[in-house]
Amino acid sequence: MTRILSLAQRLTSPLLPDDYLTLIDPLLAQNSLRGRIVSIESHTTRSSTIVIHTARPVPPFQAGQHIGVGVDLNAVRHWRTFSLSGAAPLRPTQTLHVTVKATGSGGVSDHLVNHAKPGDILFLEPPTGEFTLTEGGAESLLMIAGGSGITPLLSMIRTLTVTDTPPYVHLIYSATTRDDMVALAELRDYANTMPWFKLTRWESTVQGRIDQSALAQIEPDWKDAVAYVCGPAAMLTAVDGWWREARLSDQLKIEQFQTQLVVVDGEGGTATFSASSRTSDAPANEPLLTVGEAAGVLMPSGCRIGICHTCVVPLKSGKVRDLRTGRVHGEPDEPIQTCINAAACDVELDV
Amino acid sequence: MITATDELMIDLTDDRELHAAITRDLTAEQVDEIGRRLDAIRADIESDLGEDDAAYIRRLIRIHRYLEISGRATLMASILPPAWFAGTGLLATAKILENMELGHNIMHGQWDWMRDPAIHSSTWEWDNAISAVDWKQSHNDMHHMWTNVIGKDKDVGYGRLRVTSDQEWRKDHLFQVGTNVLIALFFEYGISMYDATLEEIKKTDAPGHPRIRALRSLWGKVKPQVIKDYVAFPLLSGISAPTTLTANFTANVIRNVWTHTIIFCGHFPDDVEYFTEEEIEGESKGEWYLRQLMGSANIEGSPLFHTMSGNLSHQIEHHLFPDLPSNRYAEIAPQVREICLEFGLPYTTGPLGKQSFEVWRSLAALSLPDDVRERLRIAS
Ligand code: FES
Repeated sequence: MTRILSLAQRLTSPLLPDDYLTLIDPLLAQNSLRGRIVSIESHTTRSSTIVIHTARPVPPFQAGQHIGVGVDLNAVRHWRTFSLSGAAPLRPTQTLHVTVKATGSGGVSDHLVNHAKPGDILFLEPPTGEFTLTEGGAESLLMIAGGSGITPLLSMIRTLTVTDTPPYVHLIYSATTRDDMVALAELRDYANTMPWFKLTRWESTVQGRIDQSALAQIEPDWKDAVAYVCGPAAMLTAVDGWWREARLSDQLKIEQFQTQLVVVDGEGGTATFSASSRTSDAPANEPLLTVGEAAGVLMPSGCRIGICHTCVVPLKSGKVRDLRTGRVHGEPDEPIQTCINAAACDVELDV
Repeated sequence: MITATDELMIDLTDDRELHAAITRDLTAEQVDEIGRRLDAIRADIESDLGEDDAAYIRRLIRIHRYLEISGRATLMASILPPAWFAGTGLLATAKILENMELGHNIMHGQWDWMRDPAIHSSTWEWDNAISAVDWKQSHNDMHHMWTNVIGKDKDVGYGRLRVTSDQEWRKDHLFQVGTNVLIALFFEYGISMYDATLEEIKKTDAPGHPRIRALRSLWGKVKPQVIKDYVAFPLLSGISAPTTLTANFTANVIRNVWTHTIIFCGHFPDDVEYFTEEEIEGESKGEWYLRQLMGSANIEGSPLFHTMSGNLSHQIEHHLFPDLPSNRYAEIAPQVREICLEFGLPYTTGPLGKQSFEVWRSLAALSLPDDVRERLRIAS
């Protein structure tokens, strides 16, 4: 196939065979991963599980990993990361499940829950992530899920239900109300039929936030277990503190579900130029171009006033502020013009 | 004794006199006002971009690809004259569309806002002898930043032609009408070679003659183009091989002549102004806008004509806002024109025939030294 494609490229040059293949069917793209929505199952009014059929098989992912999903919203490509919620496959697969909760912010999640329909094409980034079950690991696992943080844990539990010798698993599932808990019936079913699985529900509107003493009550042996925790930032910070206090940090695995970018008006951040391994202070009013140059990074540049697009480099993370308009923007992997954008928080550039 | 403030005053007055070439009799406030009005036009369009614009560029991309496929397919039978003519026409149209409305504009970053990696200035490569990287350097940066500044904007005559009497006359300018015919026929190679040579001359420490090195670097970009048009597709055409080769050659020449015509009409008709480096020192944003306005000329025509010229027929609007999507220039044009009218600024425009005639007439006139021209009473 690669031979044929490279021969074909002689003919399509300077375009790629992809440019013609996608005329026939967008799923024929060879250079990027795409998928089609097969079905959507809504759990609550605010969350759904989307079943995606990928154009090509993806290598077997591990429970707890996530994928990037891209959609065009008002013609602009937006990306979000979602944990895979299905059981990890043993072989390469073309079926992926993501469980998505609408956030009300009009972004990718809202689109998937409220507007997406079977047949829609999604742009995808293949599965990655470190928040996974360790092979031949612990005898007992403690899982704590906060809200939509359940998804990677759901994938782990589903994966364990089909393994021969699962460890003891205690899942503490916290959400604002019972109605906000996805897959509750399925989890209850596991708890009733599988002796190794225990489920504790925690409704935070009724019971308040889980604290350390509540945890010790729910699972007295928490110090003996390997813990997997995924949820909102505040919860993760608290949990991290408890484990650190008990000097058990190496038994704790945390998935920061949504990275919190703190964009403060009129403040910059630290700029990391990853390919050149430089970091530097990036004030709110200084173009990243000059910040990079001052730090000794070989920054591409041209007009320096925002017209030529020579200075474009991919933004890895963080947000930038357009110095002409004050607009704060930036998505992971978005190419940005460094001569007219300043850091709006900590940023990482691929240069 | 001259204090620091005095010095500053002197500087400012100097600047003001020099800038008079750009600002004419406008006050500084008026120049700023023009800048603000143009910024507002830009902001309006930017906030309005959406699905319709995306649909426009994606549709044109599809049209280009179908034209290219059908052109290449038709030429498989190019041994038959009707197929030769039809195929050449389709392929030439495809190449023109790709270079102008797609390549040129996408590489300007006009569609970067969609964040689609397939339609992005950082990834697009075009069907031309100049690589996208070099093009963006010399065109987006040098030409658009330094528009019509003699000695800075290489597009002012491309080092060969005398397009304004502000340029020194040289003996070889005597033949510049002929030179320009050759440039038109082989435009892509001309520019490519010119850019490559300039780049190589900059590398003072590299071994060998810069022109030889330029040829070598040029070959790197030209090779896939040549293989495709003059080896691979002719071979695939079997018995039609020789005719496919001539058809591909013809299509390339048609594209060259067309782009050359449009581009020359964008900056070289009468009434377009040129500037010196001193004149633009310390130029403000408003003054930059004014220079773009006065250094460019539009071509009037139908919507189809605008598309086939990559909307460079809206050269003025393109120079004011090089990275706004080209499909929007037509709606901006009346607003820009109104500003020009209000402030008594020139807005050069005319039909293709007239603009093109002016270009060639000036070239002919300027091929003579100024004193001879004056004696013969030939205007440039
Ligand atoms: S350097 Fe020209 S756009 Fe940034």
